[in-house]
Amino acid sequence: MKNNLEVIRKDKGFTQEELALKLEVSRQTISSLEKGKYNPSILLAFKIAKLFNMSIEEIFIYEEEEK
Amino acid sequence: MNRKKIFSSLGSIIGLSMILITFFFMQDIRFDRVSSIILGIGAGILGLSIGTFLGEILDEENPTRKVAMEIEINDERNINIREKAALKTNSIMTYFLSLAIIISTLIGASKSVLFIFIFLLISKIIIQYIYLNKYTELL
Repeated sequence: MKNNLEVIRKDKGFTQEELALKLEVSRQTISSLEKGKYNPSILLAFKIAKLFNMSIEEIFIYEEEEK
Repeated sequence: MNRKKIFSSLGSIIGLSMILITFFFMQDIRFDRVSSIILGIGAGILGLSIGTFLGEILDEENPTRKVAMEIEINDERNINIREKAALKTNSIMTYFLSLAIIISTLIGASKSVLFIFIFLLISKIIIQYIYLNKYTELL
């Protein structure tokens, strides 16, 4: 799954540390999310979307895996 | 004083008492094995209690440290990592236990040793089955 988290975060003027603190997750989680190494739980995805006042689809882009 | 501090203080006193008892009242050869066990448990309790007590003091002095620690513990990615690591460890340990049973059979180890290994392996399978059922119903 791809995401625009890094772009949106920078656009809103947050550092990874600040965003992590607001979402109550570790900074490494934010870093992994931005790199696309980690897919968030639905709960965290909603928290992120709510924080940025956006829909989940605007932040996370679902891509069907190639078989 | 919060509960953690009270319990860790009590733990320190109990641990220290256990250590002192072994040094002053259990020097006789008759108590050799018991005193070693008591000394070990006492040292464990003392170490753990001091660690908890110092941790609480640090948390009080620096509340952000406590928040950061709680975030690290409850972080969903960390929970995922811990669960995956535990799962992998569990599978590897099953192989190790099976290997231990085979080796102890081949080298003709005593039946009690073999019994312990088999008991551990069977317990592991039963516990796994119980939790599998529990979480199947729960989730």
